[in-house]
Amino acid sequence: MAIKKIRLENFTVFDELEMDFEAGVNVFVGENGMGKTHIMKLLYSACQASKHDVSFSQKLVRVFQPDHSGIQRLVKRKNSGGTASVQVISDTSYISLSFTTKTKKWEAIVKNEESWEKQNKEIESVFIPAKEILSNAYNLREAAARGNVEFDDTYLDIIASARVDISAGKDTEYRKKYLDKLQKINEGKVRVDEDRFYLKPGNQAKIEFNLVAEGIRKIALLWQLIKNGTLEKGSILFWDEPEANINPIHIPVIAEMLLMLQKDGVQVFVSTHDYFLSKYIEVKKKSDNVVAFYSFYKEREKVLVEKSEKFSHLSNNAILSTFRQLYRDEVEVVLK
Amino acid sequence: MEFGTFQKEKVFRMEDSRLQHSFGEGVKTVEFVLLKDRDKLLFVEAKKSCPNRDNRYENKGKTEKFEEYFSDISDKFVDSLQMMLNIFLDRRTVNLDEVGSHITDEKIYSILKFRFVLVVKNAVDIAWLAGPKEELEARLLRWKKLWNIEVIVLNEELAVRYGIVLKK
Repeated sequence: MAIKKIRLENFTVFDELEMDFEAGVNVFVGENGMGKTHIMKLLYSACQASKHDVSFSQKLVRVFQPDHSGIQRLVKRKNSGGTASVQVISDTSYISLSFTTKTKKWEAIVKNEESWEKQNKEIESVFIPAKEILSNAYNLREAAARGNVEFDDTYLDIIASARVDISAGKDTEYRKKYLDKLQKINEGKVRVDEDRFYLKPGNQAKIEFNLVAEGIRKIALLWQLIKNGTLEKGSILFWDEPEANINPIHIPVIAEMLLMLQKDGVQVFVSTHDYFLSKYIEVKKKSDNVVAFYSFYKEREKVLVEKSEKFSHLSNNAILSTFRQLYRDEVEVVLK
Repeated sequence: MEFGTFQKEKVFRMEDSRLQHSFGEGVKTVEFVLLKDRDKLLFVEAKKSCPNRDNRYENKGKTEKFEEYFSDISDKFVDSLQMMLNIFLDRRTVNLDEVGSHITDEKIYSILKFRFVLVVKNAVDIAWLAGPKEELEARLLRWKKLWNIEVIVLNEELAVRYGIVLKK
């Protein structure tokens, strides 16, 4: 299953939007506030709704966490009284929902949910949020359920995904090629013990995640998701700002991992502000990789999206614009 | 690409100059040296294009061409700097009237800042210039440290803005 398209109207920062996606690596770039993460969260919620016990509208509310669980707060603010509508289309089916500023709680009108569940038969999808959370995993779900802390479902779900028991026995060749590469960076394996996450370097004693550098924890999370089978053919990966807290020296490996996953049948959505990650994905791409870049930008107060096969071909490219301005400023200092 | 009109006293058209010939074979030079403001000595080399760092290892030919290109430019900058240092230290007996008189004014020697400037005419995107700049900086790192040199790569648009080339 792959997500092919999204259509929406009056949703958060968007007046209207239609985006076609690739079955490969989809890279979202753009300034803060342009809605990149919103699109990813929307698509993730739709993927999760393929499970029979997950409702699309309720998941949306749990992922966006509007005040008082009110989906009405996701209607684009400028258009008060308007109707928000979302349609997510896969290669086999679609799911849609609509709601207004008067809709109570998560009671949006959802269409085609049953067919979506049947056709997409429990797609495995995972959303890695920008902030690393495994180090705070202990008891987090219980605390969130009691209302002691507020974390949206992307944080709670990633803990649940990472906690899945590692399959015993030898790793398949498929997994080995990833795990060996990642293990070189995090210098160890992930262990879960009584709901807490640890890194176990070689034969040494395990180290609690809190004591491990945040960038390494992120790499370790990727290791764990591949090890326990969450990320394999047919899965969909959403990764928000993979570059946050990662040593730039590891960025090429992250880019390679994403391209390898794509070739192995994982559809990938990445939101990034990082020049290096965007360029490395472009540079490391091989002829059998499928990659597309999407630039989210504002024109006359409307958020629009531009798509290109090449990062450097995007006309509205906040990362490159900043890079160019930096270069101009550097020239000014040298020659003034 | 036509270079700017510079005050005679502030420029030295180094390529194929008497000074260059006085060193004999094998000494490379930049196109010209320009005194900007009172304290910046620009060593300017111009090229029509530049090999792409991203595909330099695609085949042996590209690797060799890349190496030759940047090696040659680095040599030109370094040799040209040393030629000027020869002048500053009064080590040449050749007639120096082809060198602008402001450049050979001893009073500025201690305040001079050296700038290595490569102008790539066909480089349209400013963002792309960072690649060649980094390549040159890596090769010239020792010289940068020893003489506090700044290295910059310009396209035609930027070179026009700073008066190094004329607007078409």
